[in-house]
Amino acid sequence: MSPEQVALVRDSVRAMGPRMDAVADEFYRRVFARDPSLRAMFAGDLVTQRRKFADELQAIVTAIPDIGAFLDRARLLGARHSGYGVRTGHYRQFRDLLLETFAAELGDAWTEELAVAWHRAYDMVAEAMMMGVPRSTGASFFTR
Amino acid sequence: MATATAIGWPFVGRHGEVERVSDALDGGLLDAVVLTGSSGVGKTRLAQECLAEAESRGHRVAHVAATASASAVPLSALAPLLPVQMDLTDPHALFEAVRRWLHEQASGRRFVLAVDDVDLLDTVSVALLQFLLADGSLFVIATQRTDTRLPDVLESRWRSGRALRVRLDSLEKQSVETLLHFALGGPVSTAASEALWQASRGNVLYLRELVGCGQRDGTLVCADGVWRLTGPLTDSAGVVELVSRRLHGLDPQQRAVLELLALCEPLAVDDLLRHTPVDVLAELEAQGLIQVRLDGRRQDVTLTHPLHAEALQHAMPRLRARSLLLAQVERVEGYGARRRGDPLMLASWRLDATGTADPTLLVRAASLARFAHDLPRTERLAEAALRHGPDGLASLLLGEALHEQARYAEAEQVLAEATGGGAGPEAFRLVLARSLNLHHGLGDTRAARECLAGADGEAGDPARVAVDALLTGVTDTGAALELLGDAEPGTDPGRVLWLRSRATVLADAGRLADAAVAAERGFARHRQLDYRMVVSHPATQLVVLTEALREQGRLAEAEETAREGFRLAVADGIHSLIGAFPAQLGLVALTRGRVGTAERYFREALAHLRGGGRPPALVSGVTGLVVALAWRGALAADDPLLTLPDGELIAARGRGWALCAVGRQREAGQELRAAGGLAVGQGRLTLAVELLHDALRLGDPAAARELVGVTGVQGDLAAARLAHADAVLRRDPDALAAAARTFEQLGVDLVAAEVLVAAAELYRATGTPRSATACANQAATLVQRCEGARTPGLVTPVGHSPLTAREREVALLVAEGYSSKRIAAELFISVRTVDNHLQSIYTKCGVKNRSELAAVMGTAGAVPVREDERT
Repeated sequence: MSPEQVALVRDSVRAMGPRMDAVADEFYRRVFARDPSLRAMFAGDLVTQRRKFADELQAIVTAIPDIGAFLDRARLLGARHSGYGVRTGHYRQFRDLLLETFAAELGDAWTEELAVAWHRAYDMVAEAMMMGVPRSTGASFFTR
Repeated sequence: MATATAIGWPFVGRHGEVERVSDALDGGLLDAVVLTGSSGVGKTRLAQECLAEAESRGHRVAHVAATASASAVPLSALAPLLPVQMDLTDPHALFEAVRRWLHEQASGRRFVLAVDDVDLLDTVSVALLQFLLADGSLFVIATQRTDTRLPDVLESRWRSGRALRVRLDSLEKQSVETLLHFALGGPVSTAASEALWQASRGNVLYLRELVGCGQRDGTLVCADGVWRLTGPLTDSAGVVELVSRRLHGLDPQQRAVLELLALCEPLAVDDLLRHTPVDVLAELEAQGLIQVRLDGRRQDVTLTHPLHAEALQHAMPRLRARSLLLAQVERVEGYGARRRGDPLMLASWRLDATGTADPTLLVRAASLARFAHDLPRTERLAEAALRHGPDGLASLLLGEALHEQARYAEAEQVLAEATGGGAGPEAFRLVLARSLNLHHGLGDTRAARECLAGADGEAGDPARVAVDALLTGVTDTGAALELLGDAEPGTDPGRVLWLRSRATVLADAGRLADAAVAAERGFARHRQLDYRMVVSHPATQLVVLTEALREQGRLAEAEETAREGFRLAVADGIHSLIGAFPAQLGLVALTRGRVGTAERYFREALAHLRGGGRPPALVSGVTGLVVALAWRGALAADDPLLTLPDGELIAARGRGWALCAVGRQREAGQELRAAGGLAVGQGRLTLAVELLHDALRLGDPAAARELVGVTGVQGDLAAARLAHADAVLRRDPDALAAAARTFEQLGVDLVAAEVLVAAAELYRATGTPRSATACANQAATLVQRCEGARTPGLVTPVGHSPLTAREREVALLVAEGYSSKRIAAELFISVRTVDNHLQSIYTKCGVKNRSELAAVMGTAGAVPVREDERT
């Protein structure tokens, strides 16, 4: 991501901050409307799920500038999700729905630039999540 | 993280592919995945990630790389799979041992093996993979550069749906941006990521090189947490150029490690640490040039990318490579060469360094290569072994590898030298191999005999008997069959050789059906044989089988057999056989009378056969081509082909037809008849019948009488030839027509047409114009299939005017029962024109009305359209 994109994403999360629960609700509504079978993937009650989503989104977006913290956080998240049975196809599907949700929420403030920035941010989070538990990446064999 | 380094770049944009591979592994329906893509796109990395995923699911895994080195000892690429103590002399036991070991390791889950650059894998390794895949104990993840050839074992699995092919394209722009962000540990300016994307076009290796280069020369810097370019990227040299520039800038100690890896990778971490300070390795790792792979309990160091290995090998002076390799050999021997595959690796390294290695091991490795029909490697390994001094087995391997590559003169040199070397366990086999090379390869049967006399001590051995009979059969099939006897030997490889000789001699002697049985049996036995010394390739049996089938008139089967033989010979690169099968196909086409097709096959055969030696196949190929050209009237008097060898009986056919082509038809007939008589005297009855029948076709008056005397040749074709001769002697047109029908049913169209022309002539002479016209019409139909054949037998001597094309059309429609009106409509002509044609047809055919015409045409119309004509 470019620094400008990082800033755009961070600012839009701040702007949505007070309404984040409603945004989360709307996102899950869209997810289950698209594919009701996905409901089974989220075991707990939806209120908790919504809360977790809102927290995680804010936390991870804020973490982007500190790449180490960001990667650690995303990987943990990813490991949990792979436990839910989330596959790569789901990541793409969720991205489209999430961006649609934001667009609906932000109205005119949802610009082309912001859309591209969110696309990148989502991909970055998703890639980091899919890396899962650290394997070879980043670790040195000889200097540890 | 601000000081980002290139260590283990994150794995981005390919998780979907990992998922597909894991699904394939879990599903159990597939047993291989092939990752295809251009160099640097990330195939190896993907394979690595897939292995890690498989390992996390409880599979045992290993990662190996095939290399282009011609010196690589067979199987050395698969060293991690091989037992520590192994018996290379028995491939089956070895394969079986690997299979058992995998089963023990796998504990119910398939062993997952990643093979980089699978197209470079040696044939023996491929054979082992095939064995293990068939057994179900292995799952292979292979990488393959675009535009290389996939080994058959994987190609066929892919075709039958048992292998998945994943094409890797360059990373998309978004993925490149994400990758840069992770790898550099912070946001990247839009301009910088755009420039890096533009230059790399999503090739990960190139991207890494560009980033590393930019960091080193200070064009890519991190300021205030953002990565920016301070100037244009290093002028966009290609990735190879970038790699070599970078390797050039390393200090000597670092470079030495990389060079050693380029020659000997993978190397154990402990092994490297013995002679290299840890900080040198740490620095190389930090620069992303080397990586550590965990392979079970073993930790191996490899270069990060094959392209690095290539660049290093190219730039390395010969002497430097030599000293690095020898130092490595010394070290590994120093700790006892205890790891899996060590003996093979040692042999490969020594071979690379000095051109030779432990001769015992080299000979075993050569046997292994020969087992897998890897002839160039067999040659190289056996040659290297011989540098240590005489070795019967090595000479045998080398001589046979040369023979099968159709380098007969070189084979003779090697084998002659070795057979002079006195006794020894291989002496007998050397004599046999040399005899066969002299006979089959150099066409020198007399020298082959003299050579065989050197093994008189083994007189009763079935293999010796077989070779003796083969040589004897050239001039006396009766004596040859007596030598062979009827009792099939009980053990191989003598039995296989005996069956081949017997089939050959039987075919020559005219016992074609018996020959076909023997050849089929020989082929079946031969295929089960692992031991290929002296007996050569199983497809040799198919040459004889094709011949036996063709001479019986079983043309379709003969073609099928020759195609199968050609496929086998090409697949295994057996050049000594590759030319023989197109020649056989040419002979079948000739028998059918397809002169154009025959010419094409013979030309192809000659392209393969010309060069080393003068194998009998070459003589028969040249002969065939001459005959095909002569039958088409396309042979010039000064054609260089006409320098056919004298005295050789199979060339007589060519000499005869060549005379005919230049208008000396009478001499041609005499020549062919004389040769036929000679063949009878030698008991080569099949050839005799063919030659005498050719003489008969040229109108040689005595040929028919001689031909009817040659009985005992099995099969319908010979029977038809004899019936033809008999009909000519009796001047019986009905018998001629009957013989023609038999030829035609066998698919021998040209001869059938010639016989019909002769029948028509006799009918006309005996005042039966209707039958004459029927025969002439039928002959015309058959000649149309013969691709422009113009033999003397097709020429009608006296004023016979066959139907014009239009008249034929009209006549056939009449025979079908069409009215004049309907015919007119059908052919877009007037009714009046139809009737005019009809009058002319009645006159020519000697009939008075439609029903008589239908009867005449009915005979012609009864000629069915055959299968091969429909397509």
